[in-house]
Amino acid sequence: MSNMKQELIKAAGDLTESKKRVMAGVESRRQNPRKKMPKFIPAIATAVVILIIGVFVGQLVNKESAQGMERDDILTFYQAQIETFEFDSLEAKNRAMDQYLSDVEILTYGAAKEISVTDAEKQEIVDTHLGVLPEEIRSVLVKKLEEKGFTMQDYERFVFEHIGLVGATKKQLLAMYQEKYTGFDEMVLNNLIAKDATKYLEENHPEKIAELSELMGYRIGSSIGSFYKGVVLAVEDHAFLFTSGYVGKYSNQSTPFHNSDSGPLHWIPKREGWDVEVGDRVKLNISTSFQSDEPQGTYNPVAISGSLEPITDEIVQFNIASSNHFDQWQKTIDWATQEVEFNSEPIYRFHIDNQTYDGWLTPDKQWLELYDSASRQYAKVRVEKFAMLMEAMIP
Amino acid sequence: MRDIHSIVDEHTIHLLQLAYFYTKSHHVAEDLVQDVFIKFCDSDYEERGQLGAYLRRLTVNRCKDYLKSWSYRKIQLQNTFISPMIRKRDFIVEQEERSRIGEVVLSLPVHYREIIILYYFEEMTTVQIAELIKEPESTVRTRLRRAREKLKPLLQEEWEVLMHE
Repeated sequence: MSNMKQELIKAAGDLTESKKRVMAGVESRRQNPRKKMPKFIPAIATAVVILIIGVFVGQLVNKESAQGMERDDILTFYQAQIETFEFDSLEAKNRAMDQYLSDVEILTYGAAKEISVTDAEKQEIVDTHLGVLPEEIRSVLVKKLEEKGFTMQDYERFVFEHIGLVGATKKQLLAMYQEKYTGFDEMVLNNLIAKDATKYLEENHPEKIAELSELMGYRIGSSIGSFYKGVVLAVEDHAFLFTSGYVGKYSNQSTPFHNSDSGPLHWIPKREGWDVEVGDRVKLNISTSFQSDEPQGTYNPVAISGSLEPITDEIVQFNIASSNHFDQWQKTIDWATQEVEFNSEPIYRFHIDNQTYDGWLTPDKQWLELYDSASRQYAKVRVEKFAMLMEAMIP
Repeated sequence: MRDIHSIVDEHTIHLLQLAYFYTKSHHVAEDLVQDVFIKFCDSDYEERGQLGAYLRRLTVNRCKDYLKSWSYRKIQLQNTFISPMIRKRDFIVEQEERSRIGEVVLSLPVHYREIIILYYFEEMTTVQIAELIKEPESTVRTRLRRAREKLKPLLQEEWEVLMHE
């Protein structure tokens, strides 16, 4: 067997438990094929239902929901709601989008199951939703809504028209599933409904999937990773190696880093007018694309927009905190004056400018894994090289 | 045809590895391989000594469908705001399990990663790969060359070892 094959097998890890689960799953699905199979519907009826749903989803996705809530308003209300619970604006925007997409799936699936919702059912959801709102949360929500140009009355209408509709639909779906799958926990069934709803939209509404993907890509692209500040580590004819967060001069032309797609180090294609040198500190405006076929779990700047700007601000803070626990930072030490002891798997926290990087050692203590909390990406750096870079940076 | 239990027993690990290289998720790989076997059970496959290749084709196609799917894109969206601590924990676990070379290969974009996996892991020829992924052989050769070019600077000294095997 080739070395490469052996390494790849190692990379896939121990799959013994996975194998057991697959074998059990196959056995279970063969013995109970109807349990997880979609219910058979005659072809003509399917066509009619799809046509009706198509019109419904068209209303919902393109312009307005069936009850007159505009898509952008729904997203804004969700965002205000999420921000109320101390999520930052960016995260709230993404969570709101995720919630909206799930709502579209549920409503579409509900329509396919011929579910209709009465005002009384919606009101029941509203009472639950608003009834548990403590006054201190309510006052924050009012403030968040005002920032976005809405009142509490607008929000209550949103809760009735949209959350009420989705909630009541979910409730009816749950009742249907409870009848079909007896003895299962509610949470399990809710997960199954969500999965089936996703699958239904995917299999029956490719045109809406495309539309939602475009909306999702635009929203995320315009909100995530609006810029990275960092330093140029190496320059080639058509590209330069850029890393966010590292500051100061670094004269070595060759990169000591492992440049992974999942790390905060990126080879950036040069554009006209982008004259950079090793050691330049720059601000890189980037956008991202959801159409990328990049691996799961990473989020890469696949498209670059805007400009490259020089940065003149100086290091404002640079220190390392070490801890054996994520939440308890035990001490702060200065890299420049104190040697860090790499033992007992500590976690190192770096503050450079206003950004924070968490790092921890690999078991062989040869590599430092760095986590960039701003871009939420990772890099892997040889400890010795990292020390060299730090020495070069600290005056 | 052979008993399905013995077929699943014999091929699952290999297909799980293959699906993992595409999806980079053990959980998703399990789901997809399970789907493959169910599809296989429903198919009218006739044994002609090509069972492994047939299951591989089903798995590759299922993985590629998944990577294009709405579910996958939704997961990508959720990954933009998933708790950093959860990702950190998962990352540590993954890193402990992965080899450095495997990690680098898995970091390649899927159209390069696929070629490396099929060539080195599945030990297929470029002609066979071209037939499997329905691309001209010249495209496969180009991707293989570019994938190697991408791997070389990342693997440094390990690359020399791999190339002299």
